[in-house]
Amino acid sequence: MRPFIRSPRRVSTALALLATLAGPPAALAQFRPPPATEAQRMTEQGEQVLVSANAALAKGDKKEAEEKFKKALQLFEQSLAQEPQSVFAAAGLGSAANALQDFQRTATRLAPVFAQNPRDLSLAYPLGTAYFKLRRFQEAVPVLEQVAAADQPDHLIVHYYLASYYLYVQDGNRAVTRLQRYLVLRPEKLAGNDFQIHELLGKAHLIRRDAAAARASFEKAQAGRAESATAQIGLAAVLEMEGKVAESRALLERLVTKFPQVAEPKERLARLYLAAGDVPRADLQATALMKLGSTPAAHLLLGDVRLAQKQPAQAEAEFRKVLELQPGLLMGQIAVGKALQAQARHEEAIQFLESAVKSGGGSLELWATLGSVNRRAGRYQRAVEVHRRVVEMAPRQALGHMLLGADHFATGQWDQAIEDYGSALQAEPGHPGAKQWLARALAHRARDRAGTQRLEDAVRDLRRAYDLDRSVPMARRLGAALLDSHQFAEARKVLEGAVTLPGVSWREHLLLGYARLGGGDPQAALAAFTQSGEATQEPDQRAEASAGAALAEVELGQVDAAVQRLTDAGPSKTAAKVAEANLPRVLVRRALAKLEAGDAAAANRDLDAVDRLGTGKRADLAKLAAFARALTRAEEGRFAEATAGIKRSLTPAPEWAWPNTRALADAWVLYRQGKVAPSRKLLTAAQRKPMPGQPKWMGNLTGALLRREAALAYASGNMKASQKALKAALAATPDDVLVQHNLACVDWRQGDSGSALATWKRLETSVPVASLNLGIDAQERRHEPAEAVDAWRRYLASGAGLRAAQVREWKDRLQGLYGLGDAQGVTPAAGVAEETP
Amino acid sequence: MKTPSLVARGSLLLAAALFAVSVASPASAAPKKATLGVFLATTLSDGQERFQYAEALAQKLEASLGRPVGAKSFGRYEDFSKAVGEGQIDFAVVDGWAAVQLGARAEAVAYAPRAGETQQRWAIISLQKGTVKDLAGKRMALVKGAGSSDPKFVSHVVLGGDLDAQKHFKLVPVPNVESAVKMLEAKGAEAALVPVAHVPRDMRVLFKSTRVPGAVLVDLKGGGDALSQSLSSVGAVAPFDAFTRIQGREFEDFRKLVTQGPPRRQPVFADTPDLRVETPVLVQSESLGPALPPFTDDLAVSAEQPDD
Repeated sequence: MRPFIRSPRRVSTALALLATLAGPPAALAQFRPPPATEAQRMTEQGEQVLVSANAALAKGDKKEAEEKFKKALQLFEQSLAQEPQSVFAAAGLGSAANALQDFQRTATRLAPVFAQNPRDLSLAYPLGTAYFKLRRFQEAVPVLEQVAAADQPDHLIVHYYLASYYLYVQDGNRAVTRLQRYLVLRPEKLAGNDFQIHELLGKAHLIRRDAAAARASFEKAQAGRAESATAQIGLAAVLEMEGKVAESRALLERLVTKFPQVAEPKERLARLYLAAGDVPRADLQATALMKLGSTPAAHLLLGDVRLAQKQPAQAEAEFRKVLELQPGLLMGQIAVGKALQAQARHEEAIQFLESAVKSGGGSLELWATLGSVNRRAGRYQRAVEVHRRVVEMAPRQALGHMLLGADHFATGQWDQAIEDYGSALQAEPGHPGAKQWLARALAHRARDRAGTQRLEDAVRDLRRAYDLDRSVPMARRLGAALLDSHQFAEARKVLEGAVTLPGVSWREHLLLGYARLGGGDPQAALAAFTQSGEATQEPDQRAEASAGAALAEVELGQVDAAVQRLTDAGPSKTAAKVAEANLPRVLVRRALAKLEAGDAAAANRDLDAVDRLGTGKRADLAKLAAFARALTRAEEGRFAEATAGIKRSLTPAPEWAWPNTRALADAWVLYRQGKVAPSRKLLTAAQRKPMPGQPKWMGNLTGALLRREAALAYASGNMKASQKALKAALAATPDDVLVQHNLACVDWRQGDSGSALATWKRLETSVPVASLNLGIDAQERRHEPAEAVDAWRRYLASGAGLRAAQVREWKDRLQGLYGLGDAQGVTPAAGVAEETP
Repeated sequence: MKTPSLVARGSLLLAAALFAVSVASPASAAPKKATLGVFLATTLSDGQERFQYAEALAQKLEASLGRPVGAKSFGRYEDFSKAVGEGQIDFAVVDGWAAVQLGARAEAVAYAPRAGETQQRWAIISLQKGTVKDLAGKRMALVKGAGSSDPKFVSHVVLGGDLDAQKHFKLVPVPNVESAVKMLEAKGAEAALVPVAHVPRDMRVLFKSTRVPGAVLVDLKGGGDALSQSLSSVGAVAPFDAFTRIQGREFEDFRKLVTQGPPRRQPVFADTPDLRVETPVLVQSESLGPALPPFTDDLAVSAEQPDD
């Protein structure tokens, strides 16, 4: 923010300048053509007297010069009395009066004539000078600019006047223009004083914040002369502007010793100490400065030191001395107000500044301070009122908008604050304070909006804030709002940027993990979560990172690891909440995965765990768990429970269910139950509108139903029906060796043993039961026990399951009866009796 | 007990007989005496052992049933089946194969297990090396039952339907397992069929059958339930363990196997794996996605205020 108190540098400059301006002008006489009237005659006489007055002045005879000037003034007055519109008389009057320092007379007498002859330089020059000397700058500057524009060597001094004025009002550019013009126009004999002009140029460049140009000017001022305090002070200011504070301080520390009687180095040095928090040294310099003279600047400095020493009452005393020495001095008034407020004397501060405003007509800074004092006192309405005034006074400056922004910020009126800072930025694009506080006000509003479900608006605010303030905290806020509004890709973009910024923490990595996870990239998410965990030592924060990693692991199929992580969520409450919200879901998911592998027991264990944990408010999840449980029941053969469970969990239809989920689940249960016809009916209905990912499984169920139908028909001896179903199944999957094999069984039963044998022989390596059936054929049809034993031995060697005991019995019996030994040549029946029963 | 109970008698005669019984008994309320038959020609190899077992069991049953129980031990199937046929026996402990031969009137109630086994294997034994196949046309000693159905037990049960005993062997009937072994020793037969437990050490086992029910308790007078209920308090009677009730149709299956033989072996289907559910088919996958925590706290702002 722009400081309220003008820098003392400016104060001293201004004070020094005022002293300069008080000095006598180097006015020069001018030639005029001879007059014709009485008045003209007197004017002519007056001019002659004026010439001799100047000559006397040039000789150094001040007394004679003064007398002659008075004489000339008298003549011009008489002439002007007779011819009030005489330009010559007025011009002469002006020159004489100015020489006598009677500027008031010049202003009074010349103004009407100049009004009639606004382009006359002979009038403009003395009148402008008089106005300037009378500090009537508003009137002086346009007149002097007019004179300066004519570029006449005689009027050289106006360039200097104007430059002085522009320096006073901190208009560096105009000051530079005038000073450079002065150097061009000045006669050679005045070149000896150029160093002063260069010093002023240096100051002008400092105002322009052009450190290089300022340095060049001060170095030119210093060149070829003994070390000059002013030039050196200028160089110290340049160093400070360049950020070389230590060098600047070193230079000033040298200057205060070398020029102990010069005030400015002490003041500057004290200010540097204050800024660095070195109050004791600042105090030393301020006290030394005071010894040089009880000036307003010295008291101002000491007051500031006292404030820094937390002695606001003493500060107030110093500031009041400033006002004693220079009544109405703006900075003094502001400082008193500030000192009062520092003593919590808010009302007094307000009253003091209010009266200052009333008496002083109100400068911008005073109004600004008055408003801010009101704000700090909690009187926001008045603060806004006063600061509105500042905006009215200087609508093109950021100042008033910034102040209003601060007022609205203090009361949480974010809309207005945002508008204010926006206006400040319009007035001064790139204003750092405006950018910073606009971003912060937007962040405040975004938080409020997010709290009232206006996430989209919050995101918009934070996007703007992040554009203004590319910082980690702002990126985190924007990322979080995007995450909460499920804009994962956008969140990822922002957060991937954020983690490259300096000052990034575990938290941004964590958010990035969630953004990637939400965007469906669990691998990258896991990397971010891991990085988050590594970026902190806090157990709570590590627990949060671990919970995130668990969610990524689930998506990567590492469900067991994830369940482990989520079960031991760790000390953080947030992590525990993440676990709580996800563990049931993850367990249901794993249960479904177990079901896909046919492991009903494991599925039940996970679903039991879900029941213990509860699903909280997630009704859909509860229904999904119930659905998974129903499917598990079917897998266990508890079909009635399965059917009832499916119905319950899908009424009314939850969001996760497809429109045909019910039909498909019921069809599957009926299939598992062996109820082929009703299952097929449901399947056919479900197939009318297949959902994505379903057609393949539907085809599988169709095939499974045909196979089941064939098996049931075969078992009941209905070979025709069995054959029909198998052929239909084979039509869909011609390469299915199991179906081919079973079809051969039907063929055998129908008397086509030749083709059956061929099929079984072909399939023996891939379908073990084919060996069993070859053995059956050998023993039952062809009565070839040796072949049967061989075939069954092959069957048993394949390690095939359920029928092994039966087949081993058959094989052993045939071996016992016919003495067919095993490959090893051991005949089990040939030994003596064992004691086994 | 002389009470005739042949079913062929007329109801009048039956009524008269019942009257006679009540007259014969001094206390009309006194329960009727029951008779336990024991025929274990192949399970126990010693007549004395069979007798002692019958006596001991009868005592236990008497206590358990609360009525007098007499015991009769039979050495030969003919005697036993005759007594049964005459209605002398109320219930009996018999070899499993013999229980089958008694037909439907014998209700199998419980197994009499030995050494924890309700079943036993049978062995074809010989003095010579060789195989069953080599014994074609040779004599095999076989404990005699009803005669006509004896070969069925051998063919259907012992040989599992894979060999016809009557065609393959010359069957030599003997009264019990001791005599079967003796017959073999005396070269009256080339082979003998005995339970594995009774195979002498010096004999060769040419073949062992699968497990076959051993001794069973059968009811012969339709009092199966009462008998069954009394068993729990009977306990073990040496050399058997406590009776174990026969579950379901287990014994009926055995009876069927003996009488009808094993079913013809038919080709079997290869089992196709059951179709499992696939989650994405039934559940829309996005609803299984992670539940992200709220991030509202990350929107927090500092309390810092602008000042000038």
